[in-house]
Amino acid sequence: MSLIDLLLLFALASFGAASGALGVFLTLRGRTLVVDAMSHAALPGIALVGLMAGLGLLARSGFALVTGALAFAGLAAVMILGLRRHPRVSEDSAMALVLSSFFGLGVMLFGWLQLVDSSQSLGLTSFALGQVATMSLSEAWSLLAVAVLVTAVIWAGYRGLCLLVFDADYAATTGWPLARLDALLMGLATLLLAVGLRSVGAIMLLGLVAGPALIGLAWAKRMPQALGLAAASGALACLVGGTISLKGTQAPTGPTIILTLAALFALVLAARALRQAGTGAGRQSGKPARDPRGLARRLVRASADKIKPEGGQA
Amino acid sequence: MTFWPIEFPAMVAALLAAAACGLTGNLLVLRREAMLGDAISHLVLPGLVIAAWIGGLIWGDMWRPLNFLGAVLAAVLGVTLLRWLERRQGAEPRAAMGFVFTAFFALGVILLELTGQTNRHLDVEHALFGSLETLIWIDLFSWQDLGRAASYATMPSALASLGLALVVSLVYFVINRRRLMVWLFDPAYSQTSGLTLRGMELSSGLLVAFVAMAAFEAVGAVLVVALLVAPAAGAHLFARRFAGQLVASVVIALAMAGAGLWLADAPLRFGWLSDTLPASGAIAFAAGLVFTLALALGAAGPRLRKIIRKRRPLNP
Repeated sequence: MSLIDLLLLFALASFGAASGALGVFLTLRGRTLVVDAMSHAALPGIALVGLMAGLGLLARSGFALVTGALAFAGLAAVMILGLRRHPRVSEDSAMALVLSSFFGLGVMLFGWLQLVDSSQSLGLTSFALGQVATMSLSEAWSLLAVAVLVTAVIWAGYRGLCLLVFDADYAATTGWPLARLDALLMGLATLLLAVGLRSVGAIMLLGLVAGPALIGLAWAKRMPQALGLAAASGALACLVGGTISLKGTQAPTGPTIILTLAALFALVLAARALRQAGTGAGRQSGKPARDPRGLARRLVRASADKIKPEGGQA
Repeated sequence: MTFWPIEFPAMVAALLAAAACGLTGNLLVLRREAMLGDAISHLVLPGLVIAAWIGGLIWGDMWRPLNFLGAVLAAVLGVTLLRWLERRQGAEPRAAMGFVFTAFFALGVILLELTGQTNRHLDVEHALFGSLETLIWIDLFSWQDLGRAASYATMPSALASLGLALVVSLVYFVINRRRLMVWLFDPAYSQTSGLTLRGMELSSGLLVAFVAMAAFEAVGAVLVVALLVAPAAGAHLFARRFAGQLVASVVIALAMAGAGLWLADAPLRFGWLSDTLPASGAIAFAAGLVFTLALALGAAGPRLRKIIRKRRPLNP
């Protein structure tokens, strides 16, 4: 493995760590699917930059591509927020509508791009599923820079972000700038997905945001532990996925990362089941840990039985 | 003359897929679970790939009923898994859903790469973005051929499965009309009146998976969700009655497919480009445009109504 490959892997792993940590906040805030919609919506931005470069309007650079992706992801976020306000459009419908129509536009524009200039290296499939092998060194630097930025912001704004995701009402009453914190969280997510499209892929980014967070939150009892676990599993999955696709196999990077995460998640769930079997009582539901014979649980169950009506239909 | 063998089957496939998805999508949109449609359209991929691979091993080509079985099984497995994660393991519902469907899709893509050589009908690009353009009806040269039984021997089998999906969804809605109305609009009442929620959930989920699988080949995994969600969401902006909602969603879906086909073809017809644009992407984008139009009309609706009322004297 060459030095450049090692650098690519390092950048990808730190990116995975950062998106894992940010994913914990996004998951607790219930925003993971918005990120999915935004990452799909970023594709037409990339195709548009490619088209403009093909027509000689601007030079195609990594910076221009990221800017295009950012613009469209931001537009999608604004449209989702706007649509959600409509009384007859649910949040889910808003996300699905924006996701699919932007992605459709992306497929169209990529088709156009291929007709105009088929020599370009901008392939739709590599942006949809991720391909580290097509990544340039400058893109690796941007991954690294965004990872550092995200980590720094999480470190600096830790208290505010925790308040936002755990008790937004309390945060608002005590004078925290809630709207600004929310915008900060979504802004970081947008930045993350805009640089991650090439390596992880638009369709697979959701997995890299939600997977590590599920792992961290399933195991950890405290926020720093959850963040650390999520970051570690994100980094590990990115290392595995990146190594496999840099080894010259045809496998796209995104799916290998996600499958590694799925295996880790299954391990963590199994370990948690063992831990719960060891301590006797279900600890994760907020009950006191010291309940060796499961007394509290039996009490709750008995009272629940009493409440039920005769027919057994709840 | 390329219309009958090449453009006609693509057109029919797009319209059939739109009608079937548009109708079925009501099951998702009216329950505010549109993203479940996105999830199901991703979940079917590994089942489809495995079924097509097995079919290729046994018969040398994929066998459609087996594909349907595999896809529906994968969807059932995936939805069970995500419900288990959310209800039994206490995972955040949206993150659990998102992770499960991306993981299934990732598995499907990897399997497709591994088994890609053995199957000539499935590859990653077609699975993602659809393959309307590859539907060719060799023996069809004019509309008279539609009347001859012999020409149906070479009909693309995707058309047959799309037609079947449309018929099945129509039958489902006609049979369960009243039950659906109660279940979709008042789940609590439907439970007290003796309907089993789980039965409705299961049957509607199976129907969505079946229709999504049929439409999958026409427009691809990611864009099925456009046809599932946009028509029903558009109809929901206006509809006052359940029957009206259903009819409107089908009409809107057909309009979306028509607009998309026109949009894909327009650059070639006007001589801007040397070839057509991908029809699946164009249909999904057109779905967004038609929905936006419906939204604008809805916003202007009260004002328009006022203008019309002013012109008409109240007491003639």
